[in-house]
Amino acid sequence: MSEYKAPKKGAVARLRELYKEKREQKRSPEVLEEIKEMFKRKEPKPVPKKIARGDRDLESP
Amino acid sequence: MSLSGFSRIGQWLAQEKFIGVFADTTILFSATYTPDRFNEESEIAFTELTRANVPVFVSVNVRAEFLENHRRVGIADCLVDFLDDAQAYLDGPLLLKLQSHKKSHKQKSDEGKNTRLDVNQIKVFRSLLSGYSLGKRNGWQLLCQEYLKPQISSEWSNVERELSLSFISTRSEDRSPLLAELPQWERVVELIGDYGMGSADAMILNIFLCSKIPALLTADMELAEAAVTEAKGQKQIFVPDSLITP
Repeated sequence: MSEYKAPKKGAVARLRELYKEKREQKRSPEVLEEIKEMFKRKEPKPVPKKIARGDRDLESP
Repeated sequence: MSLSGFSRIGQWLAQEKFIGVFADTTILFSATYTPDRFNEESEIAFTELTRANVPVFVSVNVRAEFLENHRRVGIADCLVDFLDDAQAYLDGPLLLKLQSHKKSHKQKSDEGKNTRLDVNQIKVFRSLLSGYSLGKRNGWQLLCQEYLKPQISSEWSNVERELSLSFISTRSEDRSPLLAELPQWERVVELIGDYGMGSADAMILNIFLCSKIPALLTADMELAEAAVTEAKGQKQIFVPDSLITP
């Protein structure tokens, strides 16, 4: 079974670091500007009642 | 012993050389999502496996469910981030809904509870955000592409790399040496019927039971108890100590 390897040393600690890096990510100035223009005091367009593709709940049989 | 806490893994591994352990979705999620209540306990489990040089096996169902869990918790986190960025420009039902979500999210997080959104909650935010658009994309697409995608895109590859995960193939043409018998769909249906578990859990448990892997790591007590019953003392089930220690 030498083709299979054990978890790397310090794996979970490294996964924590990766989580922290991801959570600290910020949006670019371009995206923030897009948000501003998209949402700035606009009335939302009416959304059709029925969503064409809903999410399938994997936990439902 | 059939059901034990993670703190006993080292003792169990010291008995003999094992081919590996099977990890279900919950333990992988705990290891990758720092605020999860079992994050530190998952580290105990994987540290012992590293020390004993014992590999961790998963199935493709585990990967699918893992990504789904990260989608739901990721959207919950991203909606909070989005509110922080967009609050000054929001109004009406969307603003109220996001503020309520942020409050609830913080409360659950402070209490160590799961912050994952369910599918219906996600649909509500999708509907609200889709009502806004600029150019070629709407508010929901912006949230997903700019907030969720950067978070979720490397989740599986990170955990697969760091934990050196190996897949058990269940395809009959592969004839994996790790399988004692080929998983059958009928048994999945039986597990759903006997325990009321979701189909994802039933498929994961079925593969574990059909494998030669002697132990399962899980943070789901319902799955653990079903595994203990079905394994009939032939396999070892490990859960976080906090689930079985009063």
